[in-house]
Amino acid sequence: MEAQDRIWELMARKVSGEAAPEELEELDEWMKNHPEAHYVLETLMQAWHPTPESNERVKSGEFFAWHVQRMVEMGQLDAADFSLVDAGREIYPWEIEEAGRRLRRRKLLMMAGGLGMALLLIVLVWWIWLPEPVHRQEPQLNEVAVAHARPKLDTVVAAKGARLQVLLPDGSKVWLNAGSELVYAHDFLQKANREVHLRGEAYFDVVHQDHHPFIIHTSAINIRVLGTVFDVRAYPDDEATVAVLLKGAIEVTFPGQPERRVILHPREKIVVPNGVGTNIQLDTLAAAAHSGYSVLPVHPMPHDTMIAEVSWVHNALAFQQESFEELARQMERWYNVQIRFVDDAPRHYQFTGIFTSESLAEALRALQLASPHQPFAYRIENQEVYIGTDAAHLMVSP
Amino acid sequence: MHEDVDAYYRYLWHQIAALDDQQAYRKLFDALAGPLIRWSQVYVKQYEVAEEIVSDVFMWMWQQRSRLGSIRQVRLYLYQAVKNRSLNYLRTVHGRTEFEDITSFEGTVIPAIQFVADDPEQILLNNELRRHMEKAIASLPARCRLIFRLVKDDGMHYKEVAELLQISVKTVETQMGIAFRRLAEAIQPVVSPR
Repeated sequence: MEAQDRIWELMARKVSGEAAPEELEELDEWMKNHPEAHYVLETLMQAWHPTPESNERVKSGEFFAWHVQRMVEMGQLDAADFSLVDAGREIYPWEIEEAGRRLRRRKLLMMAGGLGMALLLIVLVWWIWLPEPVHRQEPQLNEVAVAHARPKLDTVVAAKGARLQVLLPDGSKVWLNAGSELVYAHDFLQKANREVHLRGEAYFDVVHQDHHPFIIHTSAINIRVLGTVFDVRAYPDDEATVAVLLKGAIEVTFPGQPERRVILHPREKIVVPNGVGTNIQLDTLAAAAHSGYSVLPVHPMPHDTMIAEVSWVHNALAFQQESFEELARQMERWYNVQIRFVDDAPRHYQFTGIFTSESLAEALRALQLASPHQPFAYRIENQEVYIGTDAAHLMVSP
Repeated sequence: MHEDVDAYYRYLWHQIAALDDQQAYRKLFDALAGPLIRWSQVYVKQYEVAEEIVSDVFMWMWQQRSRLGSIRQVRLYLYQAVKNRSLNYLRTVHGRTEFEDITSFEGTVIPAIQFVADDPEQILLNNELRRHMEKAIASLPARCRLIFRLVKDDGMHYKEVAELLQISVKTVETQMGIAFRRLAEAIQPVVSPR
């Protein structure tokens, strides 16, 4: 028995690179009499790789950006001292800002614990009223971070609850949906490719230029076009990135996989799971998870010619057989609120419809009336909406 | 392989301490932030707290770089610092003192097994093996699993693990032996020719 234990210890030392020469010899000696153990040892050696980093925040550089931002905010570091060096990949400006936003939020939570509710209220009021910048050139933080090595960038932001139109230097038109951000270089036109980075949703009407392809980068896909009309939805907190083509043709590629490309035809959409959704419910998404993506036809809304996916361009929020959970995410951006499900059942309700000028309360009431077989109650409190199966459930919630 | 990694970290740390090399700082951060967050989580459980602790430690390292230039066991130093801060956190937040008892490392992340192969038959066999091995690892006692993870995933020396957990190298060796015996038992029926 004891001799056996010794063998496993020797094997462990050998495989993990901890064995001294005499220990290796001892093991070899034993193996001569136990040829069957070769298979086991061989297999263990083959499996002995350090596990590749699985933490997405670390891998993407988001955590490092957050860390640097934190050093700046704590006064440990002058932002100008630290040029957010690249160890292999670019840091997009929004990563730094996002890190900053998250930090601020987290700080607030910590302060609340230490200083009590009164202070929390004051801070919250201040925070909620803090206006989101709508259009700006070169936010200060970006300037420091990117000015060193990269061309100057223009950032256009549509705050939550707002939509806006952008005219790019080449004459292409972009409609930015609520809670979205578009970044492009100042010298966009001088480059071989017209390149923009998108986070969130945008509707593009791209001016045709033979020798200047237009390329849209999102975190899940890149889209290359010559001239066409299409919609891209790439919100990081959504389950999937979706591109809908209305006119012309676009070519979709995947970052880091140059050999994979998909050509979309008019009235087709591509759905690529973002890898953040934990409970993907739609069949189409399940299929997409299997193959990496799926291409589906798009249909006009019933009794209407409007296509749900691009209705927002016409100041309408249209949805077709959408789960309440998915719809809630769109309503959050549309109305600039937070929607919380107190019960789980309503998350899976399915709705079809269009909101245009409805207020938030009107919209919720319309959903209640539209399908009595999917009963739910709601409570609106400031910027938050609580949804449950029964009004009684909403009374106890914070 | 071990020596290379140690020498690499030592080189990076030298660049940081002597030359304020930000690129080296980023490289060290990228290489170790993930494992250090997981290491902190062994104690503090919540991911966000672990992130903050790791960020604090790296921040402190940057601040003190000129004073800490003589550190040679860079990785062990960082792990120790993260451990100390994690324990401090538990002390201040929960007033806990009994956490030194390492048998309670229940939350330890289970290491994943990976094979490298390109022939489809081998891949199929490897998947089967992987399942067996991961099951075996998951069923190890928590402390044994933690030691196994530090050696395999984090690439640590027995000596480092012993220092970090304040146990003897002999104990590390015994625990690794137990882990290997369980692994071998799990894969034997699959790999042994009849």
